[in-house]
Amino acid sequence: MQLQNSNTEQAGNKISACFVLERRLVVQLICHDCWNYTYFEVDVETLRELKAGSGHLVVQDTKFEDFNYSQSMLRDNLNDIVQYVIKQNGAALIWNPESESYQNNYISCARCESKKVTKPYSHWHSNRHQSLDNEILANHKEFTELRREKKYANRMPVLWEKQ
Amino acid sequence: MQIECLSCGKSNEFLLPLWTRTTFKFNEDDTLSIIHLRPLESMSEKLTDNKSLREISCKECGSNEVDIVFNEYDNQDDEVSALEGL
Repeated sequence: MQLQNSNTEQAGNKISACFVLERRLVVQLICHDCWNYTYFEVDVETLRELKAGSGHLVVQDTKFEDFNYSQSMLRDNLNDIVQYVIKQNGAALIWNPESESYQNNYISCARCESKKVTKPYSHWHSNRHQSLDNEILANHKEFTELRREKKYANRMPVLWEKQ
Repeated sequence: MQIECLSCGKSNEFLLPLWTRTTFKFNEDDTLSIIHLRPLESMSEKLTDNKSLREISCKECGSNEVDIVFNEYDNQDDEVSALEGL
């Protein structure tokens, strides 16, 4: 998906540079304004417990026996949103007519507060769309070779055995 | 201040959902680390706002039928009877 129509190629070059610079870290998300790929912000819902009595109110984490449900819920919700954005990518983006670009509906950059946060690489591209029929047709020759290999795979002569 | 569950009437523990802005980072092993939490909602505003009253639930029975009394010593009947006495 194109974030900005004009400088997509430039963006692609910069993203490739990111991969070269830091090979140890697998880049999951990237900000298209400042190229931050580490720090992000997300709005998460959590639960707090209110204990009222004898004129005052105590606010604390929700615990069921020894299990801290508030902290667990926060971590789970954060993880769910991040995994959803990484998996859905395009579905997590909304079109902003003012900036004429796609923006992330859930995650923003913690460094520059930009909402132009996406996966660094997307398999899907509007200009490279190919129908399933065309893709199968284009790969027909490769499949024929594969089928031939499959057919003769068990009939290959065993070279290390004397005939 | 008192919070009363109108359904079971037993519990004095209640749950309130709150939105927080979470700043996190990606670690090298693909895990997430939370580095900052900023509350987006004020708890006092949420407690006093009648629209948010339904969001409070009883920890014991899960009911949303909850009544909040901010000053349990403020008894209107006493005030009325005092005025009638005057």
